Amino acid sequence: MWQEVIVGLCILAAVIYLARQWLPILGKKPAPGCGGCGGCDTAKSCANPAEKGLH
Amino acid sequence: MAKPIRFALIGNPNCGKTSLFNRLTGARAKVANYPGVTVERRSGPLDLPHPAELLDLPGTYSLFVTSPDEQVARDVILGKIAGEAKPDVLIAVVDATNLRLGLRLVMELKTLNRPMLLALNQMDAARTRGISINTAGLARAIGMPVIETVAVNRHGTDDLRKLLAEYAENCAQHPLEEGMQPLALSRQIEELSREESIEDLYSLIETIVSEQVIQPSELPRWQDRLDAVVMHPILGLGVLFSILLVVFQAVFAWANPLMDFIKAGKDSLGETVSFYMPAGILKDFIVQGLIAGMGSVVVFLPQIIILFFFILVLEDTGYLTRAAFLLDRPMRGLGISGRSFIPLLSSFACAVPGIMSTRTISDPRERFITIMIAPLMTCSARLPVYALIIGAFIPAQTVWGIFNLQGLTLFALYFAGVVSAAVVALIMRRNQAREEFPLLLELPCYRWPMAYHLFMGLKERVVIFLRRVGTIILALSIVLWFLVSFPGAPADATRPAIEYSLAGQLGGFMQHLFAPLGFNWQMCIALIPAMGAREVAVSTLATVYAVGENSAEGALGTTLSQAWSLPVALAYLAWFVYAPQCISTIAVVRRETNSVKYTVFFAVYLLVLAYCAAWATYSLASWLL
Repeated sequence: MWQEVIVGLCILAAVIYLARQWLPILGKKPAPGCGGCGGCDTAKSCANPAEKGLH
Repeated sequence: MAKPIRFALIGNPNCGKTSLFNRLTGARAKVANYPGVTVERRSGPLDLPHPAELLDLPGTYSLFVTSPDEQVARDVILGKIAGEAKPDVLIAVVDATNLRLGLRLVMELKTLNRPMLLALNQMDAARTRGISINTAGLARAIGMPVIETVAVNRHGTDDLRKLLAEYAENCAQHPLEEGMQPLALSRQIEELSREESIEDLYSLIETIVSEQVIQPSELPRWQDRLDAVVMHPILGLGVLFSILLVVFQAVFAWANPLMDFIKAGKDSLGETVSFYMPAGILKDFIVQGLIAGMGSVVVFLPQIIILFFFILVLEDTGYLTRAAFLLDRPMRGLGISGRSFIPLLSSFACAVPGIMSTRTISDPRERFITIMIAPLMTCSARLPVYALIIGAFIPAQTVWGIFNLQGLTLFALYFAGVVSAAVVALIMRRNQAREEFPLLLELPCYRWPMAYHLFMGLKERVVIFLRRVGTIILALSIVLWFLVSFPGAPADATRPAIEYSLAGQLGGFMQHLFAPLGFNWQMCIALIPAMGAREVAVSTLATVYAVGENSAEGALGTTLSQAWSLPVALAYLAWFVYAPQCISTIAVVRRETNSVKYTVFFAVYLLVLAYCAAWATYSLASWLL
């Protein structure tokens, strides 16, 4: 039972994460300079050299 | 509360403005868009006794603008942007290694009679090259304070910060009128505030440089001899072609030991977890979902590092700018120009910043075409897909005595993307009248690549890659495992359990659409999460085959080589060369073109191209092999 709970929570977290990434109404508005390359957790931690200065 | 004093950084592209901005503001930037355009507005607070704000304006060579970025920079300075107050003080940033070029903008700005100071940046690089500048004499000659800065150095901006504090204090106590310098300075060049002809301007700049700058009299002769080959219209292209060939050979030849090490680690982890964990859903989730999914992508990290190592070396040595200049003429024959080279080259890393950097292209039609063809430059996210399939189906044998066949195949895939981009550009530009915008490029001196730059550049790429693995690829792998695992097979099942899953059912439906291309349902399913991140196609295949075979052991490549035919594998590669890239790319196209119509056109034309190319490849390969 606990195994199913853990796996279920992980799946739910993944779905919510993906929904926030791609559905604008759910996610935080990204910085205008962000192209969404996936190289960050937050705009402040941008590690894409080409976009870093834009965050 | 006192009104903040507004400082604005203005200077040529690549003079170190943004580094200076980050150093002065502690990288606490607020980013927005200027009204009505896609040019970013970056501002940040300055830590001064008096409230102050620093604006980082887009790079410009002159107030006579040739691109949207330059237009915005000029309009901000002149106060022509609605809702944007004119800056109180201008900080002109000039690259000390090329004072002559930077002074043109400075002297043009001087004619505006605005409070100004000059930040002479990259002084460390200037000294390394033997350039000596009399900053006191330069300040007297141009009639404004001159401060030496090294933006990448922790203490390289202390003097500038002190001067800005004095400016802010003076501005607060004595509000400035137009034409006033807040600090007392010699007025030797009052005549510069009047309009001057371009010839007079350059004549004055030459006089200033000859009096205040001591530099090596000429470039070392070996640089001239090297440029005679590298910049030759035929030899130069041969050199470029050879360099690229070496790069792609190295990607395969050098990466194998490290890839084998990572693969062994992944397999060992999977075996350990399988051994110690009790059977159940959690074990399946970890082994077949997480380890198989993420591990199959991490394995390609060495190849990505090698590819970016070469890109960084070529950039740091000064070669890439020359390649842009070299390709200007052939690219004009296709309807674009050398200005498109850097955005297209950036797209080999990731199309998102590549497409964003098209803002520097003056001709709107050329900019549009560059955006449309940028995704045809194979991005680094597709490298794991290519490497997996090439490794599984192309033998590691030597061709013509020196070339590795796998490296040649990889080169051919990249080359196919480039050639296709050229054809598409030609078709899009046909019969269009175009306005000629001459290419203006500053050729840097050749130099040995700096180990620190290479290290930092590679570190950033590794961080980006691992972050993607730990976020979006992890999330997609989890969701995918769920889709391929549930619902389970019914009691009276006659087919493998995976075919009853959600992914199996969806893949079965998609297989009808992709049957002409020879794709099986596993290949079809992999195309969906690949829209989130291209490398997830590898994770998907790993998860699908791991769940299907109840094991994460054994190389994925071996599994594929037994499950697919060569024509199917080649068709799958062709699909990935041409298909629209990830959702992020489509989103940035929408933003940069500001048009739903163009974005839809972008996605549709690439899908059609991918389908036709994959079908043609499958048909031809089936007929020949």
